[in-house]
Amino acid sequence: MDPVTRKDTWISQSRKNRIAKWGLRVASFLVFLAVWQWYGAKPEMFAVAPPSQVFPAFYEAMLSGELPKAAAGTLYTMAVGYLLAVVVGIVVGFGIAVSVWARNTIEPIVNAAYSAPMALLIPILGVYIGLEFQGRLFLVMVWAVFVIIVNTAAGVRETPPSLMEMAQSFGLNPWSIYRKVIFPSALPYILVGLRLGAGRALRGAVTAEILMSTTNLGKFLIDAGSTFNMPKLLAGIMLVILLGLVIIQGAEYLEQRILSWRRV
Amino acid sequence: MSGFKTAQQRGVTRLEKDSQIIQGEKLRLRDQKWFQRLLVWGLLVAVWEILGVILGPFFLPRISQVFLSMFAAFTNGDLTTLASSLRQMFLGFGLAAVVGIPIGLIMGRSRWAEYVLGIYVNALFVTSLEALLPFIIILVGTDFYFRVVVVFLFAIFYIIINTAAGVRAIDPNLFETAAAFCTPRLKLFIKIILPAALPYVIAGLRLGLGHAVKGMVIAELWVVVDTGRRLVDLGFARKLPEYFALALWIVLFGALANQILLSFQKRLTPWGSEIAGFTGSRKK
Amino acid sequence: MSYVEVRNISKVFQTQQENLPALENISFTMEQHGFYCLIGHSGCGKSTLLRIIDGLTEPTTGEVLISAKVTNRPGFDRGMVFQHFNLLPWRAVLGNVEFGLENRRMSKRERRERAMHYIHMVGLDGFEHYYPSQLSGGMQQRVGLARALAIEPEILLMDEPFGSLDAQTRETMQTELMRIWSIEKRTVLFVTHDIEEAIFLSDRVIVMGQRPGRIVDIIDVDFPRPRDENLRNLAGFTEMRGRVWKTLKCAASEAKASAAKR
Repeated sequence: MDPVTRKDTWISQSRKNRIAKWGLRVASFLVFLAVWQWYGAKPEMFAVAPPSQVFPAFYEAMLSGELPKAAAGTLYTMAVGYLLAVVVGIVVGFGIAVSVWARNTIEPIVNAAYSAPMALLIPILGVYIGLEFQGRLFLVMVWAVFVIIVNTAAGVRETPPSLMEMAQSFGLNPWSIYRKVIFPSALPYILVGLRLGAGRALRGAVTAEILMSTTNLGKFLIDAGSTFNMPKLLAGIMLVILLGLVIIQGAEYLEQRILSWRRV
Repeated sequence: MSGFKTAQQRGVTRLEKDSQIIQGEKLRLRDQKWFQRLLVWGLLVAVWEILGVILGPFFLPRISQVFLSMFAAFTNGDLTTLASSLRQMFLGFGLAAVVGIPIGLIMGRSRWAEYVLGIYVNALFVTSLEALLPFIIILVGTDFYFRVVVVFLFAIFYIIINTAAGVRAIDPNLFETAAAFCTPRLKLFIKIILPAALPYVIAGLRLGLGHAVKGMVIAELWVVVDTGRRLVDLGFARKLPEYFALALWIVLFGALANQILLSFQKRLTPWGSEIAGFTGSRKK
Repeated sequence: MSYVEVRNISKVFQTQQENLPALENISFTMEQHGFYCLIGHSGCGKSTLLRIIDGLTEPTTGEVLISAKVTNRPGFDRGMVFQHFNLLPWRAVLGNVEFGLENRRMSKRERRERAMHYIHMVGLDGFEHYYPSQLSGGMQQRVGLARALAIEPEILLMDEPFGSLDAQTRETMQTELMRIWSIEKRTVLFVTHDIEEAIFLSDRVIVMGQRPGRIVDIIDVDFPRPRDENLRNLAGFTEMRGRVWKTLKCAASEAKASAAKR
């Protein structure tokens, strides 16, 4: 077989795979919808509304502005808290990686906090910060900040010493070494932290609105649930899932764009 | 260059290729880990204690009070309550392991399974599961099952994704070797796939366990039962020493369970290094 | 007065258990525009010595003089080429070559022109916008060489630059280096553990023994330049190779004997 035809078959092979992959995914999703419809439409099922009711409810809530308004409030809380977490996370992450003192003393605390259930703060947050916007902001921040710290620190630490030695050899001052070697080298890790942090920030915002102060999307969900308006409840959940997917996919897309040198 | 001797910088100047032997230099006292910890942590504790005295127990309990309350938790029923919460947590977590590991193994081994199941696993992995609480409560009620389901959902996706990643990470040469020795399918699973993926499986279990505890806390806070009820009551009554004590116990139990799994992994898979696990960073 | 003078350099590494002498009393000189090779077994401290001359590592005792001035930190008069290239993976070829120029006072255009000049010199025209991961090992080291040349150093320090290349690429690169060196006369200190490479390239081979690293022999290589592949077949070449090999072997067995005594 000469190289050209081999290449051709290889391409068609991968295309066949792609078709199979997406075909199966779509088919699986259609089957899921069908089962959901069949299951939800059974007259004795009242907890699960079928898609034929959920989608119109979703459409209606979107059109009436109720759902977009709720989502906007949630996203606003999330965005502000997330920005705080990004600033704090990157600064602390760098600090931990660079200073031996901080690594020995602060890092164990960060690691403990990273794995501890932050929801434990909820019942006493009112004592310190209040349950309204500031409290929710704080919750979003603590939800997101530790994953950013941990990844930033790991990235900075993973900078190959040989590259720093090279930079020293070419006469770079410490500030330039940070800017031109350590930061770009740590960037892939930092971006992973930022992406995971974004997902967590959304979780934090939703959690705060459900468990702490009932507003925005949390209120939408709780209201729908307490009135047993199942189509509306599932429509709200659908939006939360969609938001999560969009945020993660968007972050992944940005990551690929920024790190385009890795793709080649 | 003075004043800028960071860890890396020292690493640079120390990085002499011709002498890999120089691992640990002689450390001065202030470079010793235990000394730094003693100093900084001691300082933190002292500051907390002093702040506690100034602000009063209604705002910040003294750390000594918190420790006393942690002992008191043995007798005032808090730990009994926590134990019953943890029992349910472990039930949900156990179910997640029993269901999640096989799904993960299959998803890692078969591309078709990955195509069919992958979208749901990944979508729910990134979803705010907290949003499902109002739905789950209607589905299964507020009792026993509610917490089990929440813990199950919080834990299972970490287990699936890590198990699948572990299977995918198996060196293809192993399969080739197995094929060369005509290993039958079942034996392949037991003798190659399971042990090779085990470090990842346990990493997934550890992550899953951490999230199971988080799920437990959130579920109980929401329906206000057991430990969650106690936390809400204590917070409402501003009995902060008892509150901090109970919260610390929860964190400690989570850390303890994690350590147990870790030592399990070290015993079961002495050949493998510690694996941090897949928390969502994209593998290449 | 020689151009470069390495005077009584010693280096001791401290570990928790003991003091490890890595270099002992190293002295030699280099004339301007000469090509010098440091050869020795791995672990003899030749890379450490190179780093001391570049100013990346401080010697325990002794000093390095360049044009009669004591030098103890990296400077633009020295350019280093590394064994593992040490290119920045997020920068394309052009960016990597410009790297060393960025903290010098020069306009952007000047910098670009200079970089392009040296990219051309190492034969990488057309690859300016390729990332290191898209290049072969030999090409990556050409970038490393261009980067070092671009700062137009007086002294080129090369740390086993072809050590991680395959044999064939290595020979091509040696010939290339000879060609470039004949255009761009620099003082070169080239670290290697390959005897043929050392003899083929240099005017003088400095042979190092190990544990602790010390100079055991200095051999002048006076084959006429320009040299080509045929040199390797000359009787004189083979003879010199034998001499270096014997010296290295003696030094190694001495080190072993002294280690056994301890």
